[in-house]
Amino acid sequence: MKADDVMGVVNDLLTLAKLVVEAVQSGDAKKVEDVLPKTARTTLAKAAADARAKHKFG
Amino acid sequence: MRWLWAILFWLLASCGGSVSTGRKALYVAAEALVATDSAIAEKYTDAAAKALEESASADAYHQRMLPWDNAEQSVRLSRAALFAAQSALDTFEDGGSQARWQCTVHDLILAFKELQLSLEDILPLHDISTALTALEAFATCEEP
Repeated sequence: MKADDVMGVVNDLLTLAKLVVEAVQSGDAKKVEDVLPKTARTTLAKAAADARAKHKFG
Repeated sequence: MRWLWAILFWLLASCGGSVSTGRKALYVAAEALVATDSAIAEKYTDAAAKALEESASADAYHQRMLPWDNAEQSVRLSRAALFAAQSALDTFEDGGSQARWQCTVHDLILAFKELQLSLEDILPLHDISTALTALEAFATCEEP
């Protein structure tokens, strides 16, 4: 297993542990609308990139 | 990574009734999508800057960005599917259809799998895999 893969597993484990502990400890898990931002960050990144491309190519 | 999925499934399955477990599964899925979205957004910006610098035309630029644009679309679809599942779970909790809730989870899993496919060549997908496993406990869909 490569070092990146090992770090991936460690990262997975930490993320998983955090999420599960939070979910189990909370009497009522947060709702989707309380977790997701209004707009996806990827959508914002695409909008900015599209604007730059339009500026360059017209 | 299957052992991690198995642990998550076991923990979520021990959380209690179906509504409570469903809420926790959706919460985990939403957190996983937020983490994945953040990772994609950062890489998207880097890829777009490089594509813009190295492309001679708008067509060439958009062609290069096609895999990333597919990923962005998949993120939006996954978000919509998550909101639909949350709404269906709320309705089920208020006495509505359990089958409808299960069908929206089925749709959500399809959306996440689409996202997983769209990212295969550009990002590792640990968080999405985790969310998929949490949701697969609800993956039956018997309503037409």
